[in-house]
Amino acid sequence: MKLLACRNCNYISDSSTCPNCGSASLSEDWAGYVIVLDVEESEIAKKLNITKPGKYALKVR
Amino acid sequence: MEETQKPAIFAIRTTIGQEKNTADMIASRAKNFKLPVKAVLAPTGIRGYIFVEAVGKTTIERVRAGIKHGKGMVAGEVPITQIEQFLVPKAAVTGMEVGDVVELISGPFRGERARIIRVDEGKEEITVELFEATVPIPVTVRGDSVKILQKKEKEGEGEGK
Repeated sequence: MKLLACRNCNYISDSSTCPNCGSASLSEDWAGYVIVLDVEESEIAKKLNITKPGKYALKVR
Repeated sequence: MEETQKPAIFAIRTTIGQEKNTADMIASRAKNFKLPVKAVLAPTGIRGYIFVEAVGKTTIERVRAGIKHGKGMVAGEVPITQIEQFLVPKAAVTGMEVGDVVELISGPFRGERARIIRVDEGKEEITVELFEATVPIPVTVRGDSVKILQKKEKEGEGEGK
């Protein structure tokens, strides 16, 4: 199934609603890819204001 | 001993076009082997490289081992200040102006040369007029499906470019 990114929080999933924020506004047109495994210690997660581990897009159209 | 170290960012060379797959494989290996990998980044602007935030160089070597598209590791750490520019991607139409000559790189008009007649920064779209067309028809395309060939010459700058 095609991966969709949430327009709200950029979380990438294959479900019809965002498992992170519950939003139904998802897009298959996204770019850039970040996988955050440890939010507490990751500098990248802090810069992107990511609070939950998972896969995120950098840009969602 | 490694647990006391702070995580750093390392660059891994990958096969071009396989950045996302490699990032997925690294993340799943890190989970399976419980390696101290904090994040994996595959930005759009950079091809053939991904960035892995992990504790220690040995972690990177262990996580990369056996991954087909992981071609090697770039020596040294990458400072976060160098990564920041990739974390906030700039709009695809940045730097494009009305009058610039572009080449379409995807879609039905691929390979055609055109001149920009309108730039929509909000939608990241540009409207172009194809050179080859006998009747000038405005075609709206996405900003990332064109390549700038020639910037519009500014008045007063002359031809010496």
